[in-house]
Amino acid sequence: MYGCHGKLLRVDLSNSKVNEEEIPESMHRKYLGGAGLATRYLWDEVPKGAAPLGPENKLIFMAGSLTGVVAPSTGRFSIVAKSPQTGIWGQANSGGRWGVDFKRCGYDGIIFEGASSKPVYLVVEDNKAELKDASHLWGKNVPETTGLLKDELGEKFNVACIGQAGENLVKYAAVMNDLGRAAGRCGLGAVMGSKNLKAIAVRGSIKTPVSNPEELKVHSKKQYELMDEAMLKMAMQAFGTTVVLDLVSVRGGFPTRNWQSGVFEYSDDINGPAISDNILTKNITCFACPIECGRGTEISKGKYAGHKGEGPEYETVGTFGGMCFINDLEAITMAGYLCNDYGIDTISAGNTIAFAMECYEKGILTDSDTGGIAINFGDPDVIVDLVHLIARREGVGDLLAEGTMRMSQKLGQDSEDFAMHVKGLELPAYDSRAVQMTGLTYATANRGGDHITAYVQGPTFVDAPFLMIEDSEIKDPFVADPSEVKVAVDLEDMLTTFDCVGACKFMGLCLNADDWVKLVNLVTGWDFDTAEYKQAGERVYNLARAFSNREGLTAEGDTLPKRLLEEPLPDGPAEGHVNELSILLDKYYQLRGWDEQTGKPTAEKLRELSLDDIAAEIWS
Amino acid sequence: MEVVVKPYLFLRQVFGVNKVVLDLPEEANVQELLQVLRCDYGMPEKLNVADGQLIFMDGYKPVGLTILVNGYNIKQLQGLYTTLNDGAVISLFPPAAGG
Repeated sequence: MYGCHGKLLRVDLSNSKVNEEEIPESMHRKYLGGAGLATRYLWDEVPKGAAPLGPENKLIFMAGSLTGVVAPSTGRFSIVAKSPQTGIWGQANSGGRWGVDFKRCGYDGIIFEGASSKPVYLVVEDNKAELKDASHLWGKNVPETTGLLKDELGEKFNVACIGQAGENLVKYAAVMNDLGRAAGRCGLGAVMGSKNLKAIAVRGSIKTPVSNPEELKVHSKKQYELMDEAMLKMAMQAFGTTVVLDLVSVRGGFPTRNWQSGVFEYSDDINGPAISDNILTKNITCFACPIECGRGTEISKGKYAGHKGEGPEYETVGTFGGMCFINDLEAITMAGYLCNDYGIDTISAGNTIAFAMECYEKGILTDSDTGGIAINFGDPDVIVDLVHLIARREGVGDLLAEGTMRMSQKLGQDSEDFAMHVKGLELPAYDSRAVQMTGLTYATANRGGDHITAYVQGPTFVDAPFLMIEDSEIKDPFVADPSEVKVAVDLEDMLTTFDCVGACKFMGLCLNADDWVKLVNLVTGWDFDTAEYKQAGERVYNLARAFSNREGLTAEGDTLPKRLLEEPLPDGPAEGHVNELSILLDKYYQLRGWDEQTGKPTAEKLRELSLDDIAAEIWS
Repeated sequence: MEVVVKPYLFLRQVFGVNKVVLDLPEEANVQELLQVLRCDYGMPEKLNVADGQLIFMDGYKPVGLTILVNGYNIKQLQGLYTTLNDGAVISLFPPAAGG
């Protein structure tokens, strides 16, 4: 077997047992490793109706076939579990170095099952693993936990862990690695906290066997050279992911005041150049990545001067900035640092706070609910204060820690209409009324309201074509054109493979599909052609969907917040637009081969993807 | 008529400013606007007006600019022949992706 070690760790937290287990080669190829393979284990092992924060749920870490090889931007890993935010398939993905360091221990993944009666952490080193007491780490934040473990085990150990937010079961708690990198979405940090698992410390020296190392070296070099010529790389290197803010803003799609507008007049104060000019100290790079989009920053003025850390990313600026109507870059950066330290997803946190601000504005949330805190749009101190309260579940933070959907269910008074989530996952910082296809992909993304499942913003908001699929052209983003739905489906399938093989989706913007598939083949020894490789992505996409269907997801869940469907944008280039979802969704179901009533993949589609056993179960 | 040109990201370094207000003849189009920019605003040799390409830096291939008029991509309008209105805001972007 190439590109993997063919074995994983099974950690029974209830009984403090750690075992090794083989992964059959056929499984690896069929589900491409990483998120795909983890999803198969989730389907097989987590029973229908399992409580997401109960011992029946499993937390599955999985590296991909490319994780740690010489090819560009291939240091990523995925975590899969049933999500406490959405109650369906949950997946989060992260870069940095941790995935590589873990894989060098000689394993492809870890399945955590049960729950420990006391705090523990797992230490993994060259073909061995051991659970240890973590009582002294409980209550510590991410930098403290990381530091203590390095002191204890050695500087070379790399740490993935939760902060206080995960311990306190904040619904959108993240699993953090390399201090500032987040497997952020779907609240998987809360799943880790529910199992009393504080951290995984790894150090390894075992190389992954590669099928054709010589040719891989040559081919990888070519890919790096292509990347070097790519302007996209240069722009992201200079300005980080926030490089897109101006493009989104100029099109009138930058969610402002909890999506009450798509135009944020102060965008110059918080955009990519503002970050570079005011707080950037160095670029931070993930393993083997020529882009270096990460921001090493330090706040040099104002009340947070002296604090340093990683970020903010575009999404942090978009949610804490535009959505909360804040143009104070230092406060946004500080809120982002705190999310990293406590282990919180910044998208869900910023979105939830913006929702609370609108509730407060409308009198739905009152001073008696907030303990006297005025949660006003535009108040920079409030976002920082609220992150503390959320992580500790103190005061009104206990309510906000539940996320936008649950808050709106509790508060009622029509607040559901402007609760900006899909399936319980808070939406990121692109207003889909300014790009119709983005609305479709929010409604259909397997993990809920997510932008990176299809990243259709590439060919729409930011005008960057995807070379990974045959045709990514969207002629007019303002028009809901069913003939372009194939772009969304193709992107979902192709980008799913990136979460499986352990590579960064930004490569999909710069490199072409045939070259990419060749790379995968050179590592794994497989003989995929591009169509077959993409079909493996489709298989995983449908498998994840089937998991969610088994948990009760129907076609009804594939929708958008009422605000996007019924309230036209009031200003900017997209003025007057709402999301015309149904016309796109009909075509989507047809292309996907999904049943319109139940929202399930048809038995025929599942059999076409060699998922006969899945078909038998969900159609029984 | 007056139009406002807003260069973004690297283009701000090329222009040296964040915003240019230009006086153009009535019904001028994007191509004519680029011609004026090329002659008057420090973009000699760097802007190939004919096809809206930007020759960015030594060693880099020419790349397409993204040009938006009032928030609409000119690809959705009439391309370089898109007519400008009085008060039009023209946004110029180098290729970018992220988020």
